[in-house]
Amino acid sequence: MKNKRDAKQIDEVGVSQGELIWKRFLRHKGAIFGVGTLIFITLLSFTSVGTVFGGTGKLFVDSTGNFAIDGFRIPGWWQYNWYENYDIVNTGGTPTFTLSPFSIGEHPFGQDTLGKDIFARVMRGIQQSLTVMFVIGIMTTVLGVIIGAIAGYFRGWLDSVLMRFTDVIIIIPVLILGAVVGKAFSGGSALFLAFFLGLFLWTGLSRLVRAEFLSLREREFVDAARVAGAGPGRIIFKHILPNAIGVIIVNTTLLMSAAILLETSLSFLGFGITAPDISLGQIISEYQEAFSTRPWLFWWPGLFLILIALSINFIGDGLRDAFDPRQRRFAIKTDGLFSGLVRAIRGSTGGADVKK
Amino acid sequence: MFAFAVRRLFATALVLLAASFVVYLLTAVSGDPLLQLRGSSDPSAQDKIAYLTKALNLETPPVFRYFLWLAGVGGCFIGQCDLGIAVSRGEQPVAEALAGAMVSTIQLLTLATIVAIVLGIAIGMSTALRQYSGYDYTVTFMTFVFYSLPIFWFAVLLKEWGAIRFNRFLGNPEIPLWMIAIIALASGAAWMGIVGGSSKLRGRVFLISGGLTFVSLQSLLMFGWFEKPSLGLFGIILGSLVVSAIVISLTTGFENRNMLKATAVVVGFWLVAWYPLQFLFFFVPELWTLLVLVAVGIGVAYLAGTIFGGEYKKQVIRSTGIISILTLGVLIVDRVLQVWSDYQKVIPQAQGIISTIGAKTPNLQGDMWFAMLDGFGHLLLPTIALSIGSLAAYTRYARSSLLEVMNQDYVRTARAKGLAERTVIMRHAFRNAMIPIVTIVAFDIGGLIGGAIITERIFAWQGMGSLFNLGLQALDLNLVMGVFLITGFVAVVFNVVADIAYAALDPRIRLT
Repeated sequence: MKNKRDAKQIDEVGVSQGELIWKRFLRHKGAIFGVGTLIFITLLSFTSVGTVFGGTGKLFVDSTGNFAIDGFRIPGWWQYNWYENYDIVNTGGTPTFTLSPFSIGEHPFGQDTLGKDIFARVMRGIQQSLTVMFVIGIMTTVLGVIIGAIAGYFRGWLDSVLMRFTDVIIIIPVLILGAVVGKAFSGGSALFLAFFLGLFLWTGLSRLVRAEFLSLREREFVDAARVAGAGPGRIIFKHILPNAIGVIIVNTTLLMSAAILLETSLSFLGFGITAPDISLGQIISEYQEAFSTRPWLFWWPGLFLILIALSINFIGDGLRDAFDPRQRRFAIKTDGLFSGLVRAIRGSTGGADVKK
Repeated sequence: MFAFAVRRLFATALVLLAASFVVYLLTAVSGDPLLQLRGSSDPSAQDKIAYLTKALNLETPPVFRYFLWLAGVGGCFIGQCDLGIAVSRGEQPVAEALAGAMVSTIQLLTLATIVAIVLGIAIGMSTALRQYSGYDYTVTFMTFVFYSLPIFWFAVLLKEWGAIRFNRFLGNPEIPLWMIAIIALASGAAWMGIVGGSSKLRGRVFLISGGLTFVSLQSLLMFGWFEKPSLGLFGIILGSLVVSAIVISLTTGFENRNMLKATAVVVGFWLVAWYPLQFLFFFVPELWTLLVLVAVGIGVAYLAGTIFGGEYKKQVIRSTGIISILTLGVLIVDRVLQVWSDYQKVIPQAQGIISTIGAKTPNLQGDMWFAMLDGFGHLLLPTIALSIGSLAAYTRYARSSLLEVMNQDYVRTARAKGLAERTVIMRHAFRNAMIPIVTIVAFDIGGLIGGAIITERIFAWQGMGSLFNLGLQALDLNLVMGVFLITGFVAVVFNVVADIAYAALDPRIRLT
């Protein structure tokens, strides 16, 4: 009885594909946790120490001899910033953050040898790393989708040329790109680095989009659109692309988590974002020698880095489940591989495969 | 397939050519390699600048200089390689620097890749078979964490906990009782999750494995095992039994009496040979001794399999062969551990068994067993750092791949005709699930050659990655291009290999 009613309801209400996917996504606990954490970290980092608009965001000494930041500075609610030195509160700069009794104190994440506030530095590092991550995500999606779509839809010589071009780009080591930005454009900001890296990182996505387009373009709905007189641009963007959106979104997410690790690795090696500019990787690189004496300089940036990458990976997993629910539960016998071992331990014999 | 390979390799060569041009230009515009010299006030600096400008053809614009470099590379086809000189390495010829770095990189990557593949597939498959269990969720969460772990951050932690503190622990081995209890509980929970089954079985497995862990750790501590680790005859018997149990339960199953007999013969052979082998190991510590022993091991397994195999001769020979080689491995571990305390006396005081610097202790005196222990101590941490990311990835791939296959109709058919669960999984599902993983692994290996930059830097390993890093820091164009030539070549070749492997494993795919 119940089934009948459900079926009737679905007929009446009608659940769109988007709603279905959204519902499946909301069911994925890890993904929801990821979304929450990511939003929380983003808000925390941008509101706490404020941010910089325009300019390179780099530190310089102005005409009066004070530190200043290039660009328009928007202050936040945190009383310290990431570039000035402060009086050291705890001896050695240990964190003032304590759980019992719960208290944040002056410098919750501690201070370095110069008295810089690590909380402010980590927050600024998160801003930079997040910026790089999002810009790379957007750039690669746009480029990857356009190139993959053109190659997959038109095929023929255009496809060959674009795919060989992709092959060329794919084997260029990313480290060289970081070195070019770091050395040749040493005035470049985080935005510039992200833009430059984005120009080269679209290759994986474009291959996937091409493969998706190659199979989708043979489907009936594309023929129907063509017969109705739609041009290539309309077919690509209005008819095929919405059907390939799952692959694109999932892979963009995964690429973004790779991008934030890439940016921090570049900074760690001394390419990409380097001192006095800040990123999470740059902070870890700067303080790695101090690990045994001042571990907090090292723990906090790493912790946030892992949290961000982890959240995005969970979101990507949730999206994949939502878009592609094929991997359903399958039934497996209760004692599988080890049944032989268990039976042998118990001393009984059996099994159909030997005594045939 | 041959035509396909030739065509692909030809296209590959063109791609490599174009990419090398781009890389050359990008590196050339990164900056002036003589910048430091130009700022120097040393009177000889001018001469040096003039000399290097001539030696590196810096007068020529990069676009044309590339072709000069290319001509040198082209010489490789007629046996006269000229990759130029590496200024940042004291004007050493690039080809020479590369040859040295290749050896240590391959050493590092081989172990890391094997560890990642074997463990990744094993863990991934076991989670797939226990889908949506507590074990599955825990492992899935761990793989996500490992996957999100920045390797440079993790490696610094490894240095602190895996080397410095672990060496300190080896110097004064004490584990508090609560720690042992936690380890025992964790091990019990892990085994319970892996074995699965009814709640009664799970409870029993939990108690047995947890208790075993507790008792063995405690007794190892009590007998001072960590101060002077060794296996001895007892350890070897235990090791070979564990190895046999694992291999048998994965291949033929314990119901196969023939297999049990053959295994008993092979393991018995090695146990009897253990004592005489000690003399051989002592007097002839050479690599070929080990190779001969491997051959002997295969021979014994073949004999035992032929005699006792019965109607499943081939399968028994294969499985006993694996057992034989692994048991030999246990014997070698035993021999290497025998030099433990002597080795500790030889190495520098500050170093400890687990080292974090370089590939080997410089000027180490001693025979092959010393070198093996030394190499292991140096390889351990970089291998962990390098394999942890790919381990997580392979675990995910193996899990989803096996899940996909387990839903196929042919698996249901195999079950329906009454095959044992082991046969269904190992013969029907596992082999098909491996197909996509083989291609992913091939891709990965191609990318890895140049990808160990961070690990090599943190552990001061003199490989390709550190050469590349050095070249980029010093803007040493020849060095960068030399490394790129090798890494790019390996990457594209492995791409082709991945395609061919896919077609070879999956007859539905045709290469065109």
